[in-house]
Amino acid sequence: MNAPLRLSGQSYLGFRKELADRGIVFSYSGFLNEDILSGIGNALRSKMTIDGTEEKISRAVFSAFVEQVQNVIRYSAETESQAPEDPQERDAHVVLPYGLVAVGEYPDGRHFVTCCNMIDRGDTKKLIKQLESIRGLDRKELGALMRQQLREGPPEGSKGAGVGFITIAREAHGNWEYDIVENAKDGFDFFSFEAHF
Amino acid sequence: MENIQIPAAQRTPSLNLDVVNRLFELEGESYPEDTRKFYEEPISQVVAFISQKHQEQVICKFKLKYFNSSSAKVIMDLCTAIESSAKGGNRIKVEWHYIADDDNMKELGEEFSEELSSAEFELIEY
Repeated sequence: MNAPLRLSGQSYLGFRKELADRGIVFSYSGFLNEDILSGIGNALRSKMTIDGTEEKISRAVFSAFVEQVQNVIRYSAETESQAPEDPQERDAHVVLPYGLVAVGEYPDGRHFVTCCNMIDRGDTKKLIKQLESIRGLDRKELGALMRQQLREGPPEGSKGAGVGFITIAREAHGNWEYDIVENAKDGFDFFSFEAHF
Repeated sequence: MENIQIPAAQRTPSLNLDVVNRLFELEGESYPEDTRKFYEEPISQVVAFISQKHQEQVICKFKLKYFNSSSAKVIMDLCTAIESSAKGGNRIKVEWHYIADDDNMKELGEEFSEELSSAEFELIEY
């Protein structure tokens, strides 16, 4: 669909309908930061309280949401940044990663948390290997693996504890999937990850 | 060694160290914007305190409603310090508090308890 050259309520209504048809309740596509994580996270919790979502589910959905959005913030290869005038002011270095977040519910009642971002083509193999290494593991095995990784420290290139995907997989009882669109953009592959609850 | 009293905020837990009563407490939610920035300084003090020689029991109380995976690393580092201090002869107890219906938080406690053999561990439902 080509973007209309002027405001078209009809096209936005169509856009909204497409999101609703996919069961998406919260969606965000754009540059992300930790404030957006806090904001959407709070609204997501409120919505689940209003809906009377079972506590067990809402805690797991929130946890997956935090891990996934932090993954996008840390690993999206598509960023805009501004270096501080004083190089000593590390905290002033603004980096805005681009990503997509969707949270919703399928018609069968399953909740989903989806995040998508561009990754460097050079990193794709490593990411696939990391994800395939936890596929099929049960909750107990994932817990033990989590402890092992926490004990041994983060793998090279990790900006967190290196157990984000393990945490999500554990909370989702192994119900997660990913997809990669190769060459989605110059030098980038498009990575999508979804967890179900 | 001085006491530490950090009040809870939206994304960070309250963090208290009571030196006289030998009590460390971490309570609330933990998914800081910058995990290192929040934890580095107080946790290095807490680890130093735990590692000292103590005549009486030291209690480490975890009462977390939610923590993210970066915070899990901090908990693991604390467990390592606690176990090593207990191995060295100190009496240390970890109390892991969880909300009655929160099986996940209970299981996470059980996972961390696997790291402790010389230190005592107690699961406490509330």
